Amino acid sequence: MLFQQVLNGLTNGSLYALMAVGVTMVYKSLGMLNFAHGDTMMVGTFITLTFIKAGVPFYIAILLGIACAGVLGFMLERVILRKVKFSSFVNLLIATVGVSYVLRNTAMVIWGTSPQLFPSMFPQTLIKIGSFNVTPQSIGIILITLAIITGLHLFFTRVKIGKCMQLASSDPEGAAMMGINVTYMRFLTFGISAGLAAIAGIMIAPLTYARVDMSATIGMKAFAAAILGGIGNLWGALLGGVILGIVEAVGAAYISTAYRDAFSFIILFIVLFVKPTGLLNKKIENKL
Amino acid sequence: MAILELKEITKKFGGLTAVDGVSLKVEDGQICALIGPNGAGKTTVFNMITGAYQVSGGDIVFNGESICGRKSHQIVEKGIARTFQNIRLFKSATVLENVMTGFHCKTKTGMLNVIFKPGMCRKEEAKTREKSIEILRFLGLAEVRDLEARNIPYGHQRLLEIGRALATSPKLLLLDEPAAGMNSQEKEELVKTIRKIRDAYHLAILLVEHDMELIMGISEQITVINFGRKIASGTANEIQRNNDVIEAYLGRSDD
Amino acid sequence: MAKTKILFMAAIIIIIPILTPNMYIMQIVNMICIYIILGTSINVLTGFTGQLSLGQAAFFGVGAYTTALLNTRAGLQFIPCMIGSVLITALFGIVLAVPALKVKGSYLALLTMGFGEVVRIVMINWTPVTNGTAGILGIESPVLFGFAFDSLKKYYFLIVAFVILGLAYQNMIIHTRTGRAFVAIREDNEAAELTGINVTGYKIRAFVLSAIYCGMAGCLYAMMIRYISPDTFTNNISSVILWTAIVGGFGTVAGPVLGGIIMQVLPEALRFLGDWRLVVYGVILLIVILRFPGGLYPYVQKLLETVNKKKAAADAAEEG
Repeated sequence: MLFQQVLNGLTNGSLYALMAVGVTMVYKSLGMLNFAHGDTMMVGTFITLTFIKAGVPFYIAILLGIACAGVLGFMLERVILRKVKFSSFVNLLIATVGVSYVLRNTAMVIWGTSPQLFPSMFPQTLIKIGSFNVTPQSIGIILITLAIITGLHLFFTRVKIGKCMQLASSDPEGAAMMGINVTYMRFLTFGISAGLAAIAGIMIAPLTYARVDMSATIGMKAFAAAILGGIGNLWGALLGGVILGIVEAVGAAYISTAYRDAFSFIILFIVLFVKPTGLLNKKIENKL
Repeated sequence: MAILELKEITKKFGGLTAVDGVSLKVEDGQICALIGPNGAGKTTVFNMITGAYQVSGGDIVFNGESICGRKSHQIVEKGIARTFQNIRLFKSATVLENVMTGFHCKTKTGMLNVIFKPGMCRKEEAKTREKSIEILRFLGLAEVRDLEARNIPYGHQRLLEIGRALATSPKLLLLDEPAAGMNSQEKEELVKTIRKIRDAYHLAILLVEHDMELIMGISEQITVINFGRKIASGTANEIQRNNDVIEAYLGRSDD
Repeated sequence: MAKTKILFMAAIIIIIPILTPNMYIMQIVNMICIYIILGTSINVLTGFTGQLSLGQAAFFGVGAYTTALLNTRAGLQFIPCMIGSVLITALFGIVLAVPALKVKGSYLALLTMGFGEVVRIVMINWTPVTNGTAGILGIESPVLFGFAFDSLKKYYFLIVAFVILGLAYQNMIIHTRTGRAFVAIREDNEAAELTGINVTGYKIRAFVLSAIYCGMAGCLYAMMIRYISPDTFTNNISSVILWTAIVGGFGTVAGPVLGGIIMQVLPEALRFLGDWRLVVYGVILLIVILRFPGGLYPYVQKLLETVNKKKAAADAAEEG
């Protein structure tokens, strides 16, 4: 029974991890949390669904959905954040909150508030391993997430553009001196982050139905996971997501299902109290 | 009587020892300087005195009592105020408001007594305002008092920071590179102002500076540190002839 | 303040209920007042002290539920309910302040958002006390010294009294030692501490004061609508409260007044857009925030100043 919960937790955790990667990339680049991240995921998911319903072949629809989400991310950086750049930090944050509000309400008008069925990319069979039930869905999600994160790691360490993006985030001045267009790198970061969110949404929607309100809860869990694992750290996002998913699944099964969503907040509070830099980051001595 | 005594203070950051057993005395009403090459640990010492950093070893005694482990705002209440290397004013507040904020630890108007004791609060507010204007006049800033702090010229901003510190009624004033970014005329004015402040307000001053001329011209006692350790202390003449000091600065481009 | 100004404002305040044509508009006016108080709450915390909070709906809700419970379960009347709401929300303010001291910026925003969500989850799930998603019905309207505020018009005067009290207190605080401490903290935490301000103590005070304003608003809201449910106290509302202060004028006492009016009137004015009205509402808000980062009130002030200057110049020209 416990193993079953852990497996469920791993599945959800993989999705939180994917979302957390997007969060952490943007945080590293901009120094703040993008409060419209969850809504980007939600919108990407619904756009994909619209394409599917319009008769577009399944995998093409998915690609289109991810691309649209990417465009949304690009637009967020280009239109909104560049304007607010020289204003105070509070305004930047509030701008993302504003975008979140607009996205959510637009989604409500276009797609309605009732949950919608989302087709899965995996066969709906049950595999029995010993006394446990495993779905190709779970395995698929975990494997795809691992693949994506490993791919990103390679991208950031081996591929030129990826390395430029990393540098632009961690040392914008140094990068600029080397001729890297820091603004463009940030632009790319937002687009990729949004695309990742869409992938996560597309993979979770079959399990939870596509719902407009999925943005708020999953968005916050993404933040919690990113902070738990260590903000700015790719593997931290993975670790944080996985831990969060497992704690949530086990907690919901053994402590209380009703308060399931509260577990991520509790973890967040604990992290912020004990070690705000997260698990995989070094501790920083604070000067007051 | 020594108003401030640093007794073999040490500061370690993990494996790095930034300040190593530094001892220093500042007498009541004295103008002292703390100098040393870049990275010698001067600002760290300041931060230890003001409580921003916890002391790893040794003791800091102010006015006869140990202030190690106290919170910064309590140390300010006890009578130590400082200015910053990179000016840290309350930028969107006015010049006058910046100084009035300095009176915080010596006044009592709060969130409750402003309702229940309106008379006292009003009087206190008026007095704070009056005293602040006095400080501004003393420093020559009275005319710009209603301008936002970010809108006054650099040199005035430095003076304003000193004004804010004076408002806390300090017995010891720590000045962190007060002459940074000033031209020679401004520096001359600064020397006069520092002496004026010491004489009018009867306080001791400890300053960190890189400008040797200014230091030699104004300090009654100089302590030199390098790599976190004290290498010399004495009057300006003694320091200028001290071989260790000359060696420490050798090869540095002085101003 | 000048006597003429006070009389002028008093006149407006008294005329408003006479001019309102129907109960629907009266309700909107009352909601504007409640949002003025809510906007002031976040102004205290974020505008003046620089602590970004996206969880004000939690305090609002706690205040409302406290009044609802004290009234429907214990039969208490207005004054004890108001006191109860204020005290309990103040406590919640301390609860949030403690972890909030350790974080800033995005993390603080996230923490407060999380706080808001947890409180809402408890509201939904702690059924024996809060009655869950069904909410609490049958809250009575206030009875003060035998006088029953049982119509929206009568209630208006009660709410306005609290708005005036709230704004007056805010004004007093801002122009004295406490206000300066708050601003210092907003501008530079460390420099504030090194100017003798107990930053920790004042941050807690800011949270508690902010919570108290929300608690007040919560009590007034509960006794006006006379029914509350967790749906009212969502993340969205926290955003709206934040915007009330920002759009109106961050860090100004009168800003929330302008903000309250705009935030409540705008969605009504956009009703003709049907389903799309909230989207357009959001877009307009975004544009305002981007174009007027300090809020609209400073522009209104400048406008009034230029009008006054022109008037003074015209008068001088006449006399000259």
